[in-house]
Amino acid sequence: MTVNAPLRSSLVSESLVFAGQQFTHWRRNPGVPTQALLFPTFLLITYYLLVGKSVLRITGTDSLYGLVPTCAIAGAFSGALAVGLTLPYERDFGLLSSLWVLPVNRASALAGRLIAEAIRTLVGTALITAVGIGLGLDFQGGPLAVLLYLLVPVMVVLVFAMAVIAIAVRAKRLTMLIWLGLPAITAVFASSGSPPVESLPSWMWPLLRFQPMQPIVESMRTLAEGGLPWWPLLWGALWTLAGAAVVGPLAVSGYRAAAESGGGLG
Amino acid sequence: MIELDGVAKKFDGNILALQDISFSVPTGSVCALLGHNGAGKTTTINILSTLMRPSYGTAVVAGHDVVQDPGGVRASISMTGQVAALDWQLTGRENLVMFARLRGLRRKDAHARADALIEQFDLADAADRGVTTYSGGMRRRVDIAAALVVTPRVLFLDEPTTGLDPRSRRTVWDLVSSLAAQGVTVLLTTQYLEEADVLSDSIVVIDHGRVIANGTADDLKRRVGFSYCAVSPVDPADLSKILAAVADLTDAQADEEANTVSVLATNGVATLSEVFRRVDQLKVELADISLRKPTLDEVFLHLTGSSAG
Amino acid sequence: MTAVAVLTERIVRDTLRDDLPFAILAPAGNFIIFNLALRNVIDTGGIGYPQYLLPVIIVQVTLLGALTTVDRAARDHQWELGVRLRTMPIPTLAPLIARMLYCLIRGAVALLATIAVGYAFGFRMFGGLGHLAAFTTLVLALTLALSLGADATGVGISGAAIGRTGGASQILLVPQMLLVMLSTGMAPVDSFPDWLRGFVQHQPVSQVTETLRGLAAGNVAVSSLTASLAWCIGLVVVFGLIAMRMQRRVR
Repeated sequence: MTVNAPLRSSLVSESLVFAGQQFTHWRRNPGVPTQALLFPTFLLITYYLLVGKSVLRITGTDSLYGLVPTCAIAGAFSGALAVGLTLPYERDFGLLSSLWVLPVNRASALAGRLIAEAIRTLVGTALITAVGIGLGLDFQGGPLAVLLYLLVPVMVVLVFAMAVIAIAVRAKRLTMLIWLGLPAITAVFASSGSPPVESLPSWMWPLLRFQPMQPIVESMRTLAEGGLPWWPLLWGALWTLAGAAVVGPLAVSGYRAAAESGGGLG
Repeated sequence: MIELDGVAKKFDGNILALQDISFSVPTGSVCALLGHNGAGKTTTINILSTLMRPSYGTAVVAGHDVVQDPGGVRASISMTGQVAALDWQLTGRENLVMFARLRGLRRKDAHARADALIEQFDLADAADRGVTTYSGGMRRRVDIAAALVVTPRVLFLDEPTTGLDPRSRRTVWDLVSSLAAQGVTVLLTTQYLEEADVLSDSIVVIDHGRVIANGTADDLKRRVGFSYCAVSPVDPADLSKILAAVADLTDAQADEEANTVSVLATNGVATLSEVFRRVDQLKVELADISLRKPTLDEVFLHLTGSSAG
Repeated sequence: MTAVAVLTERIVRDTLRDDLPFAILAPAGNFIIFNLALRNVIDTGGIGYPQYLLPVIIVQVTLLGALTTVDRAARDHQWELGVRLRTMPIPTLAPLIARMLYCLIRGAVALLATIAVGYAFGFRMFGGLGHLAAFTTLVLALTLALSLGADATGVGISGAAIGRTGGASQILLVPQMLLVMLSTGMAPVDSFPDWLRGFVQHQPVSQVTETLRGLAAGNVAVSSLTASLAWCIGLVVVFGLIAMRMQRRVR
């Protein structure tokens, strides 16, 4: 019995197949959607309830403008971390290898994962923004601003996801990943405007002003307030490109090494 | 040493995994539970090792009832499951020491015992590596060694050689025989007729939760037949001609997919010669003619009158 | 009792490189982060924020520890080694006791680490030895109570799919966060919107942190102390019975 094999498909369609596979995993494993969507949403709500009144009293501005982007990005990060956690397992059981030997474009498995991350971040950001608006966020930007607002976290999370993959694929134990996540999420919160930068120790200020999360959160905040954040967006884009340039090759080479190792436990 | 009487096991949803299982295993003998996957072998072992309680019937191991005195049962048995039950974070040696200490040996004695077992099971090179790096055969060896840190009165082995290479399989067989010679009662489960044949003093055949045969290996062979004579023609079209020629011989059947006609070799090689003579007269070109042992399916065919599984 | 010792040692060895360091670094890290983030934002009316914050950090690490215990209990109960242990002549409750001993050890370590970090930031135990003893007892009793409940849950779900994948702790993270952040452990009742105050004031995390704060300060309302202790001991008994029953269950 023979089957006429279809002509070789493109990188894009193959990547979409892999992305689809990721989505099926997520449907079956409750941990990832919980981390990525529920957690940041509830974080936004509880943090706002805890701190909203106080910040309003102290700074006079609504902390939501900073909190919503913060939770969106923090959520995307924790989702990327949760996904990264499955990688050592997939490597050890030979799952990565069995995908690697399929006659598809070399980049498609990795690209598929990243596409899935991007879509999940998009959905997550939309959800959190909706909740934020429900809590009282007054979004003053136009449709272009909304689009940019949703896309900025995607840009950031792609780099973060690649970093996570680069580390997870080499990790013997999972604790390493958590060490990466914590400072990243802390940096996000520190740039959020709640707490106000002034209330943090002065030795931290230069650190905060020049780290990658700052322009990202700043851009989103400005978009929500109705302005067009040229400078922050430029900085953010630069950070993203630099990050991608560093982390991308590491992720690719690590993934390849892991796939070629064949797994030892399957 | 092991006695089951009318044991039945019902799972949730009224699934009857075992029905009316009765057999006994005398001290110092090896008994094999033979059956396909899902027949109920593992459930039987689980009941005997106190992991599950029977829904009906009684089971007594080494004089202790599994329901009334499970502690006494556990003190007399050792068991290995289908998957090696080791601590994956530890090395082989550390695993053996842990099991020895759990069994009551003091630290020093435990280490000494572990050394002895490592020697006996030929694990010296790998003993201090993590068990995750071991091959399947090595893991099984550590698993069995762990069951033997203290020589039990009864040993349960659930599919001990499934997935092992021939050399490792031989090692396990030799070990089981020597244990039986020391007076340990061994109950093992297997899917392989050959294993049951070679190793055991008695065989209990289980199918769909029932005992369908119980006896020595010779008993079973006598019921099923010594071996089969199989003939394969070069041209598949000749299959029916061959079948017609040997139709009067016992259990003649044709298997089109395997391109074989098989006949029960009631007289061993003599049957083989007879088949060859007849087929030769047909002037049919043969690809292969052989004597082969009955498969588990053929055993079931005979015992149940229908194919199992 | 050797079986319990061997099994406890087994757990400690297993966790020495990830879980135990985490028990030190997580409360320390959380303390620092929350302190820095909130000390100039929350009005605690006179008490320094580190002094105010410390008790809820301890409660939070206890809750997080309990979450990991759910997964650990589920895993230990149904993996091959755990099954094999049930066919060996060791006491049926030995694995449960070993896990609880581990939780208490980890709890003690976390407590020490948290207080050490707290001291670095200005936290002080103003009460005498008696208060310190009560503080420690309350924390350990809470740890034991939550761990027993977690263990019972873990063993209970060990047969199901969610038990096998370790997803239970993920799902419980959100409720844990709600309980911790919406309590008087983080901020006084007035900081919260009106409609939330009832919940915040009366939920168990608030009660326990109030008591701990009082003990640290050296003057605690006796009613609050007895209420918290009664809760913890009651939960230890109830969860303990359930956990033992779960561990002993045979199909």
